[in-house]
Amino acid sequence: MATWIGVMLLLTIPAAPAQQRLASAVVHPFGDEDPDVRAIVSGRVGLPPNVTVPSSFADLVDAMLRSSPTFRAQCSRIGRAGRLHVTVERSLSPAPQAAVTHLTRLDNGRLQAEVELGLFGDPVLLIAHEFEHIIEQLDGVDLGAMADRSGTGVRADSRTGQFETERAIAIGKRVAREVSGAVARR
Amino acid sequence: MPWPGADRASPRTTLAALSLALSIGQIGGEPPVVVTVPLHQSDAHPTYPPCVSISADGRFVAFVSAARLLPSDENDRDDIYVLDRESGEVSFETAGVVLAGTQRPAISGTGRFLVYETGSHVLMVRDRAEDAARPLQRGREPPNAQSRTPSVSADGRYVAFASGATNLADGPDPNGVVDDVYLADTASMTFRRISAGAARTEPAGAAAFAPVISEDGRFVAFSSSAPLDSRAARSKGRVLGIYLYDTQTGATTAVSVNASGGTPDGSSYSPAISADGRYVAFVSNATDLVRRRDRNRVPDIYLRDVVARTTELVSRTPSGDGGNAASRHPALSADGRFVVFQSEASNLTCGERCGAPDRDINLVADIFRRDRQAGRTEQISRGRTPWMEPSIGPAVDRTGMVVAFASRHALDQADDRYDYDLFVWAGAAPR
Repeated sequence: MATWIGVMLLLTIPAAPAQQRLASAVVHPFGDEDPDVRAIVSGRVGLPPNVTVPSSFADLVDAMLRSSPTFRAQCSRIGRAGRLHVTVERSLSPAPQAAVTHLTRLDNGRLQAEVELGLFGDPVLLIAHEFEHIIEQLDGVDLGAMADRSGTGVRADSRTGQFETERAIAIGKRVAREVSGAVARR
Repeated sequence: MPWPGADRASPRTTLAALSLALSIGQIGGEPPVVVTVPLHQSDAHPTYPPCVSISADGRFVAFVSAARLLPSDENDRDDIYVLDRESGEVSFETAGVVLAGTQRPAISGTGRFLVYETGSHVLMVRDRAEDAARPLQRGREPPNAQSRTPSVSADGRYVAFASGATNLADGPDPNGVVDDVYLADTASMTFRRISAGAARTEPAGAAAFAPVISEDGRFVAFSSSAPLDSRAARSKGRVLGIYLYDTQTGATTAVSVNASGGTPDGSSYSPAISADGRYVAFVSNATDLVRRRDRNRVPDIYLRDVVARTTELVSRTPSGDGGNAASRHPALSADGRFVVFQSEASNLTCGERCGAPDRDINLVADIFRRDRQAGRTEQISRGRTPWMEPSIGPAVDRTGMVVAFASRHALDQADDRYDYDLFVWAGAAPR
């Protein structure tokens, strides 16, 4: 019976007038722009609510958000992942790596990402780098399988069991370039 | 030749500059023209992408968008729109439809007819020239289970689709509410169940799905879990296979056969078909479809020439090996020369010799086009440098020169939503 009602609704709702059915403003030629020259946001842009950073990083992250479209896109992606929580903290433990992210799937299905930044290295680059590792997991990338095949840009450290990806390296460098470029243009 | 209603539905406003940018014929050697439309699809899974369909003439692109592209679209759920590449306008095709769940548009050769899934069990057939839609059902009786994944012939008369309904065709439905493939003649609104195979009956529990129809409606390729020809029936292994049904002869032929002509050692699915039904591209997990065994342990794209009875690996590196990650969702040009597909592989265009600007390091799906005649594969979803975001669900026009897909790549400087949008790529015709 419910099906019948549904079909009848489909068939009996009058069509909208034709002039309301056309639009052109939503179609745009695509420009292959360099992300480095994309707009700098003048106002304050907030981190998504599922990302926690120490107060000592607040100004730095605010500058990243305003200066880097790539970092804004990263935060937008992370912010849309409702079952994810990201915590960023300073730590002595990542050595010899400059930073490391521990990803834990909790019993309730939530994903906990703990980003540990070492005392050395560019925190802008490192935060963006580690956020990209989190997004790799949101994208469903099977790092173990990728590391087993040549030419994928993924390598595994057999000693630590950790992975490194050319993607995260490239994105970290891109965000650092966007932030430093914005500073230079001011 | 535009369809009869084209003039009536043509733009009411002047869009000279945009029309120039969108004009279909690109001059050989010029860079491709790409246009974009927001979709606001936040979380499309690579194995179930947003659906796009291109008319054979490349002019019309039907797509699903959750974005409110017109003021009359007052909801944030999926609706179906059609982009007219000549006028640069999109039209709202499901205006007035109150049920959620409109999906998977299939557009006919000239863009006149549009078939799509609805939130109920029935598929709708929309005549865009007449601005009218009707349900794909027998008489006044709607299907008693879900119908899905329509594919329409060039003239819009024939529609192949999958359905779990048991009341679409005459006679008993041996596998009950499990999906079968049907062929509908929309002129007479008659239906044939075409996935029964040589035995004329499917085993209980066996499913047939994902049909694609040739331009003239004669051939339908589909996936099935049942052994539909005598050779497959003798095999002990049970894998998903691709079959080709000839509506003139009633014959069903196995398309996914191994290099010895037997049942392959892995499943095959997601077929695409050329205009005359000679070529069928599909995804397969099998390792023995070609003589040079596939050792990459991921799904690959293959193409079967059912006339020459040969199979070739499409998702291949320049040296002929399988790619280093999964490939899915093939689409074919009319003559089978161009195969468009999505792949997570990073070594399809330049193997491991890629220079730094060309290295594909994004670990997610990109869109590729293989020119079988030239023996060359190019990445479509990229700019001066490869994009870092996933691109999925490609469709292609009959020439192979227009490719539409969804990507999470930013539309422009202001786009940091990081969701999927529509990209329509128009390349130069080969010299």
